[in-house]
Amino acid sequence: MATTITEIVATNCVILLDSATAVPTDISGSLNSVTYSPENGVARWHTFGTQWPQRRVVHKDMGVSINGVYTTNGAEVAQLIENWFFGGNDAARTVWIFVPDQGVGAYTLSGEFILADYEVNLDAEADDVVRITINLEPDNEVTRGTNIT
Amino acid sequence: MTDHAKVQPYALVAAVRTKLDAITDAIATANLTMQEGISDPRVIMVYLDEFEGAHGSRTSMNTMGSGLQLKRYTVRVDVYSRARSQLGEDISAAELDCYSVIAILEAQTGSPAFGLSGVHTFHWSGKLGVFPYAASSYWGSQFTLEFMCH
Repeated sequence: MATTITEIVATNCVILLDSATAVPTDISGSLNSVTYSPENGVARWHTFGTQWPQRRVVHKDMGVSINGVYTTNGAEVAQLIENWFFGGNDAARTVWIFVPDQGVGAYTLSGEFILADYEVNLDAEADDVVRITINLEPDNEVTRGTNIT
Repeated sequence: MTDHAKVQPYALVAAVRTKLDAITDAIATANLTMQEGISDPRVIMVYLDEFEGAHGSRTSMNTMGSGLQLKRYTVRVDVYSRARSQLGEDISAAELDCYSVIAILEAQTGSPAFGLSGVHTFHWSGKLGVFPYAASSYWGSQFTLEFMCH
């Protein structure tokens, strides 16, 4: 068995989110954790003559959860999200996730996402900066590819 | 709101010293103003003790691509109140100086604390006791100030 030499770390992953004017904006510098959760919707049924169920993948979904730092710059994650929620236009925006960086050959996940919810906790006793947690959900298909530029 | 400047340890120690220098009959020293001897019995020495990169993170960065790298600086404040002589008077002097320092620390309610841009939070603790210095012993107090900075 060969020992792997292709493991990656997340420190230089890149996440792009469209601004209100549909400009892809690199928000990596103001966030530190992204979790994407591909999920198959599975149908399950039993027929006569066997104890075992049969299953079929029916639907697909992929929620994206983001943990970021709350900053005041309009082109960083917190203000983009706040302006998205309160800006009066809830239309889906494009999200790109580059793994493990934005170099050629990096894996990409991209799609249109709506803003499901987000949370900001203001804690005067925390020895920490203010954080923001965001949940995005896809509108139509999310595609996986390879960065070619 | 303006962008945060990166906090230099030298400036941080100087900012703490400036505030503590307001204590009556005490001389707060830091950086280049520090001297070996304690000519005045109420000398306050302020100096950088510990530091940590990317506060609260297990890597050198707080966001992806090192967009944010918070620092934790520990500043020590040594207060030499009175040379060891008569216990009651020694402790009284140490306690009074201790309260003076606490009052200064409690007054840092504005943002940023100590008037230094980039200082986000600070937390302090302290203790009273006898502290050796050179060949002498002094009653006084020692404070530990922990800063989380840009």
